[in-house]
Amino acid sequence: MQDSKASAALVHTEHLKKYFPLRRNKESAFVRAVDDVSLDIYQGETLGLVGESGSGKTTLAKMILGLLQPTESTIYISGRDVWDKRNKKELRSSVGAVFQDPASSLNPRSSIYRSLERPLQVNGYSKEDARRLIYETAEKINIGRELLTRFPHELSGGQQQRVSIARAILLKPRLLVLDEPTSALDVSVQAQTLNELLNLQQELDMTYLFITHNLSVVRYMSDRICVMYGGKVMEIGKNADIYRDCVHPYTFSLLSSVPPLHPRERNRKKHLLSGDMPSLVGEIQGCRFASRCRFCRDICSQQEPEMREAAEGHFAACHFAGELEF
Amino acid sequence: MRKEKLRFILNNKMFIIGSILFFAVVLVVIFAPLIAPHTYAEQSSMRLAAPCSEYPFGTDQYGRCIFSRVIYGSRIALSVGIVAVIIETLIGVTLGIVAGYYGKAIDKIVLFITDTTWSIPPIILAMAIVLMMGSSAQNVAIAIAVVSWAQFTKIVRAKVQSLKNLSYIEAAKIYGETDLSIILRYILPNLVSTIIILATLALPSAILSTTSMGFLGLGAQQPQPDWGMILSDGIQFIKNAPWITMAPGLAIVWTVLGFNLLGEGVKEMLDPRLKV
Repeated sequence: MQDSKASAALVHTEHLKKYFPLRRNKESAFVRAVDDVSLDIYQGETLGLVGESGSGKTTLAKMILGLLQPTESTIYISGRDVWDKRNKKELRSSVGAVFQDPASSLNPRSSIYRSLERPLQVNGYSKEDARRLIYETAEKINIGRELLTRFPHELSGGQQQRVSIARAILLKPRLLVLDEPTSALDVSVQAQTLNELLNLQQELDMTYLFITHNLSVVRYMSDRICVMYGGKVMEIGKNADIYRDCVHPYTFSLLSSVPPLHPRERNRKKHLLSGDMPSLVGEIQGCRFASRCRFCRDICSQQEPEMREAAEGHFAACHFAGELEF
Repeated sequence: MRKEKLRFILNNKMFIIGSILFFAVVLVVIFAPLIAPHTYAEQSSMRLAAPCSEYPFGTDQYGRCIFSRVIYGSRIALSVGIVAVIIETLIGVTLGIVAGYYGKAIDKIVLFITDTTWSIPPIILAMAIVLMMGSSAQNVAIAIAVVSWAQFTKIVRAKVQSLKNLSYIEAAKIYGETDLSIILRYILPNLVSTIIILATLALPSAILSTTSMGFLGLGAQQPQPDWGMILSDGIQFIKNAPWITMAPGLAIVWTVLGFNLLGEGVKEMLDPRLKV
């Protein structure tokens, strides 16, 4: 059964962990940045990954991209172990990434053309093939040819981000990891970039892992949403499952923090969180969210909740998933 | 961009003065045989002569023209200084990049070596090295480099640490660049301005160290006209013939001041953080 699951998913992780050792104590002091995350990303979908700062979103993404070695377990992309050196060459053209800060995403000393040519060169394309592909991609993503000879500092933020996207899709990856790709852009440019991303996804049949803390963006973009808190997955489910029928108190509070769009919604039920995330150093007993949860009972601080299925494909890590009335 | 730089240069008086002093030294180095009225080893019967039209800065105890010796001496000071800076740049930048990029144990080892080198008084260590290898201009250059690469390493290491986490480096790793090509293609080009600034600022102190070593008799040997050596020879006659010490002293101040002002100017021009 495990095998069939792994093959349906493009990205598959099981009990993935990343602990960062702390310097002050020599032993057993770790920051549990990602702790026991099992996650599948299916072919062709957009999985939105949300959570507050320090919840482990970016750490998880970096592990999937092969930039950070997991402490325990590994990641499979199309059934291949990302951390197996033999798969490296094959996998590097199947993942791409777009990062948050467009200004630092491009080498300031290289022209745009050069920045786009390098990934192709490294992966064995000839100069002519590379040129053709760069022109083709630039056209697809609205980068004028005159921009190609310029340097990153001569471009606007939106243009820089489009170049980063172009660089990420040049090698025709199957998985594109988008780590807050629009949070540094103006709102008008954000919308344009998001729409371009949606079009590209259809055109190139890509799977997106979309990381953000902007809840309206994730709602617009995602098929499924995964909510992380303190290095763990709190709730995962289809877009509608999360936005209409969330069952985890953390998800509810997170969604409450978005101002209502319509005056009618002014009196909707909401609950805002106070306080901070607990320290991820040291062993945590029970549920990570217990300290801030208004439904917290004895069991919550003693026993760690398992993933419970609230509806089909809708899971939440809460002892009382589905029983709570928000 | 270019216009901006030109305006910067024209508005910065220190930079202009530095450049004038610097180019004067360079011209002297190139045209030494044309400027100097005598060769540096030529002896006359006039010993310890006062400045006159034939010997603008007088003569030393062997009757050699001080002015000519100082003019020729610029070649030693500059070449030893430049060679020393090149060697220390190579050592310092390489170690700095390796430590900053790879981190962990390698970083700790490099840092330890750097701190150790830094804690030894430079002139004493340089003296020890030259005494061990023998007194010559070459060995002085090596010794100066060996004692002063540490500042390059520290600064380059810090710069690399901040560079290596930038998104374009991570993107490069994802599309399959090797560590070596990340260092050569992405990190090194972004260090160029830092290295130029460090090297121009290291040159005057290297020249000072060269003359100090010469003063202690460890540099180029007689009859080579080392500025430090001319100075130390002149000290015994300082009451009767102060011009012997004055000429190399002025030359050292001129050169070091010129390079320092130029270095500061280059730093302000290349370091965007200082731009208002």
